[in-house]
Amino acid sequence: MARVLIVEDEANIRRLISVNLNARGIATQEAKNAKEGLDLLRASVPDALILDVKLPDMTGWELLDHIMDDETLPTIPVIILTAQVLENRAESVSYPNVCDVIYKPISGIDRLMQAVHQAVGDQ
Amino acid sequence: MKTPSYLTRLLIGLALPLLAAAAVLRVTGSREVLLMLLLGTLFLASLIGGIASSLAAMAGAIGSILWAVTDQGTIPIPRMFLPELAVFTSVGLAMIILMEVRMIKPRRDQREAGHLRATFASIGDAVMVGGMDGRILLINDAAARLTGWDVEGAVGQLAQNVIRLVDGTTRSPLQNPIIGLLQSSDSDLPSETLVLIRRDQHEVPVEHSTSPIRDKQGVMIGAVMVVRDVSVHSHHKRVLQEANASFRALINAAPLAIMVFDLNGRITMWSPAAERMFGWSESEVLGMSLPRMPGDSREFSAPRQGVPVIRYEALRPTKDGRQLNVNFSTAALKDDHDEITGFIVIAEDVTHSKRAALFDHTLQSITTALSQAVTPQNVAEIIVSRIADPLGSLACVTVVLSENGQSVEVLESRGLGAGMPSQFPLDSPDPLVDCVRTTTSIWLNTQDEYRHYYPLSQDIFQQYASTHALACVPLAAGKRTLGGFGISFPGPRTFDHLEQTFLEAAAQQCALALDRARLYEAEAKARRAAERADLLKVQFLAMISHELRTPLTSIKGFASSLLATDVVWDETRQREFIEIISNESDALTDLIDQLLDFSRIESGTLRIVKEPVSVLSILEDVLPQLRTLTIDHLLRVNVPETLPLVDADRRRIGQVLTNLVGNAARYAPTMTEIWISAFVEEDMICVDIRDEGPGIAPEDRERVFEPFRQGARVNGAEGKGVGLGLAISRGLIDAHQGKIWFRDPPPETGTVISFGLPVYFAERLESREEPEAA
Repeated sequence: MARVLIVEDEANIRRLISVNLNARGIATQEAKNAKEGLDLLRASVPDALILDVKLPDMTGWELLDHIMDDETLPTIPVIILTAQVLENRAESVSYPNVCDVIYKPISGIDRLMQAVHQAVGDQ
Repeated sequence: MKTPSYLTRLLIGLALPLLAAAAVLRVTGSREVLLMLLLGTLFLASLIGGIASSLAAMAGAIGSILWAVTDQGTIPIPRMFLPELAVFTSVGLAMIILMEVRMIKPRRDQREAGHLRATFASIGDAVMVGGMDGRILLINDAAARLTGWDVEGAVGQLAQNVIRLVDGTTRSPLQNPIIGLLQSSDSDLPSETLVLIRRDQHEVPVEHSTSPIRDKQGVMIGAVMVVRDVSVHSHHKRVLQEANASFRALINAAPLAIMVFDLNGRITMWSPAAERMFGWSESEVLGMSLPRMPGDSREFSAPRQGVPVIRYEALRPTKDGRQLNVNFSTAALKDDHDEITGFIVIAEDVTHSKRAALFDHTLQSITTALSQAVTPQNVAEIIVSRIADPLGSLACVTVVLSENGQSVEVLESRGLGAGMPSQFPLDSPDPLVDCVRTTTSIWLNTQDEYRHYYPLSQDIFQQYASTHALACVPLAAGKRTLGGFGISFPGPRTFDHLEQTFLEAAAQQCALALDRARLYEAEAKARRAAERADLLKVQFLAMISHELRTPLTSIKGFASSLLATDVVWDETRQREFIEIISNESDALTDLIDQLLDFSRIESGTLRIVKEPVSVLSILEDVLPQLRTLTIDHLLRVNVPETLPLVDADRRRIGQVLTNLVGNAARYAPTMTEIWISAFVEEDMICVDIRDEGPGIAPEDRERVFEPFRQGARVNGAEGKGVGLGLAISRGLIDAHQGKIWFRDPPPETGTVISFGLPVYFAERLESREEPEAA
């Protein structure tokens, strides 16, 4: 069973993603900030990562830097979930493991489910 | 032949008779022979030795007769011999006189006259001797040549015929000088313009002097007249006089000081310009050598050694103690034989032009320096370094008029030490403040002037006893007074026209630069503010976008989940989803309300509906919300019922309370206390909201009131809201003429934010009960 780590500071959005993935047979882990996310990653590597950009302790991009700098961590597909439509659009280009960028508000839950299936299936 | 000396003649006179008597008496013993012999001897003596020998010979003869009588004893008593003695004496005396007058004297006179004539002939000046009868006794060759008479022909002529003198200007004949002398015993002829008319009627300008000839008893027996042909001399003299007059006129008219010194460096001429320049008059300095004036041998050494003209510049004192920059040209004065007789010095006072040139140069350097000045501080530094320092100032203060125009503020002070206030009211009795207030320069030359005009001044310069002179110059750009500067000096000083002009011109430049610097600063400030505002707007937009998208994501996400066809949700899930959608919609509405409030506050269109109300009743209105916000904290309320009413919009103040308590709850750790307390402070009711959170650094306390600012997130607190809460709260409190600020927190930790609202005064007593009843 595929497992996805969700790093997102908004509890309702974490809940939204988790409940939808679980209903579709994908296990989830939740982290409300970057530090928690890194800890969970190091504890057990998930199949994919759903990452918010605006986190309380750092940006999602900085978290990605940390993951890439850590040689013990394998490369996993990352889905960026962001409300910051005005900036950082270009940044995803420099991270090859970012397989999708989804802007808030999402057009529908189907869009997110497709992205996760694609990321997990790519593995 | 040399005349025998007086002693020789006496000896001869005595010896001859004695020798003769002895011989006769021894040979003959005849008295007759002796007598004859003695007479002969006497004659011989008078012939050889003159009257002195004769008298001595007579005495010798008488002696020998008496000796013959007493010695021989052969001669009877002397009485019978007396007649012979008497005869001898009488004949002897008569003989002596005769010889003296007729024979010896004329011969000697002739000899002396010969000497005189030779002397006469050799004298270059015309000399004439006249007798008491006014006739010429003697003239010399020069006199003969001058008058046109010959030496012999002139003798015996009346003096006025030979020496025809007329007054050169009046042409009136002049009296015979000998007669004149006789009458007044002195010559009173005008000697200046005398003209002698020669025998051939030619006229010759002459000078003359006439002296009486007196005999041994002092009786005038004639006169000597000396006449000199001055025709050549007088021409030279006239030319010289004219040259002298021109020279003097030139010296008097020359704008340059002209001074003439003798070989010893003593002043022999001192022109009026020199008097004007140095202050000493000619009569004061003639014959003197002034200290540190040219006259100093050092300064004449070059001309002495043959340098034709030397030029040099030197500092020289004046009579009143000033120092002048003087350009000197010095040259030696020489006579016909090329011998140096003195020195002429021409002096030009270049103090003024030198200072003017210096001031010009300084002004240029000030202009250059000011072009680099971008801040008012820069301008003040230039005032110190380019104006005050070169003038040798003691201290320099630059002040600017405050924005409200009611005081002057010190921009920069140098040399006054610490402890001076930074601001002075515009009515301070101080010259610098006065200068700024009236936009007029003030020049105080001495301490006395200072005390006289500013007896009450305790400020800027007065307390410093070493200040003697003070210049205060306003800084004005066009008609606007920007400020002024004061420069103090350690000694009395005369601010002359040149210095005043310089300081005012420099001040004008500084004022323009100051104005420019201020505009530049204001512009830079405005630009920075605008840039910041722009940045904030972009950040605001990003923030709003983000904050709007977050609830929308939940709403859209859960709604689309419910609509999904591949999953069937049970009822509990469906309800959960719908609740979340509902809550997030509320959050969205709140956010939009906040944005609207902020926008109204910013645009000044916020509507406040005031009423007399108690803080307690406002609190009670929002207490349920507050309890929800502080669900994880311990809310403590201390609001006395007896507090005076405030005049306020209860909904808006309730909103402020919710905002502030919400902030406290957001940042303070869970299960810590949050206090709300109200009390009277001055004429306001103050409400403190105190938490035990991390607190806000003093430097951030003002910044957090700006929109879209949030305090640093700590302890993993989830940042909520867009950072408008405090901005809106301040806007609302301001709209109530209240105030909102951070108090210093208690020593431990936490934040105390406080707001005050004005007490409602009217109908205070009646309204007190009203809200309680409502």
